[in-house]
Amino acid sequence: MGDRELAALYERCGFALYRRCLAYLGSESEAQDAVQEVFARAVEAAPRYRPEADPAAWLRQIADHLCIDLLRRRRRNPVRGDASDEVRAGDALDRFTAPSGEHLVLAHRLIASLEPEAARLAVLYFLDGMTQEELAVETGLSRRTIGKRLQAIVSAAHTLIATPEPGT
Amino acid sequence: MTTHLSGPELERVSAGGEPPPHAAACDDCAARVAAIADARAGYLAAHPPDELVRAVRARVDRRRRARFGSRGTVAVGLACALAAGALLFVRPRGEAPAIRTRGPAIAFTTYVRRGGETFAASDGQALRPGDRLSFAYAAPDARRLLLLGIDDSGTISRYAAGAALAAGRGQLPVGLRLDARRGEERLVAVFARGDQDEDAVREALADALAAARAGGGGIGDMHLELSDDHATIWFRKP
Repeated sequence: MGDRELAALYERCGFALYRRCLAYLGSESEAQDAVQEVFARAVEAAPRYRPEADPAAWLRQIADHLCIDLLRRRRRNPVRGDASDEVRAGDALDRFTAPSGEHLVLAHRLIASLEPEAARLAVLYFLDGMTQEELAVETGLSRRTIGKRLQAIVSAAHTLIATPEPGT
Repeated sequence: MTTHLSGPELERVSAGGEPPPHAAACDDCAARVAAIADARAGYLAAHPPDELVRAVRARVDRRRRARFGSRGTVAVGLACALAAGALLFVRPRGEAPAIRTRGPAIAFTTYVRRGGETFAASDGQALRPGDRLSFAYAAPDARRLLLLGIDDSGTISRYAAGAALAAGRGQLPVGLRLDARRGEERLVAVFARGDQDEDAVREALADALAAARAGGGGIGDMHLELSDDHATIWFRKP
């Protein structure tokens, strides 16, 4: 992948990937770092990329797996960085996510409370607006499993909506 | 029924993609597309493409140099592993990946019988159709075995489920004869203390392969997350 091709792909998909990584990770610097890593992995995997596939979907998948790995590592080593970098409503998310910033804040709070595997389902469901059928195809899980897991995620979302954000 | 644009559709249209008919007729979607386009312009001004390209190239070059520089170390490590009989030690639940030589870990070894020769297999080893595999283990307490395999087409096979394993050293009550199919396969032996959730293991295998592929890897790059103790080995049939 040449520099011009890489730049064009970033111009097309970079912002969407940033929003996605921000929802997973909740930190501007981590999200921007994750975007760079997504494109680095894409460059390395480019020889194996199938041109008939949608590059945006391919990059989203790389971002999902990268962020889930980062969340797993965070759970194993729960050392937080600079607290000022953490997302709060009205901060980074609102700056780059209006008008759906409020939803993204809620999505991040939800994602942070979930197991990493469930976090990806939440992103696909809430951010991407996928249906259960689409989720089953995307994840390779059965419709029944998707239904059960979404039920648990939606219950967690309801609990979050009823619970004020810390510090508010 | 009104179907608003999905998240990816909003992103695509806001980046200049062809809008579907609904976008022109729906004020809500049009407003969201416009707002995302504005926010996107702000983001790209703060993080311009040339900056991203430089950062990505630096990352890729750094990794390439690190891989090239570590080849000697890897070769020495591989030789040590082979000399040690290629024992794979099971990770206890919830701990970071580590090789354990004492404590409650379960030892697991895969042996290959080819003609009159028997040798211990290591990760990534090239095997042949007709090779026979057998498995030795050592467990600190009684377990139940689940042995599954996943190949590079994503097909999952069950080789053993529910077999009782006694504490101590022993051989798994299952052996495999490799068929003629070419490609790669990963075997996973789960040593459960209680009931086994085979569906969960199958899902974890499928997810791990999907994750490896998304990162540009394959069977050899899978990272499994299971709640039960487990051992895994992968091989190639070139």
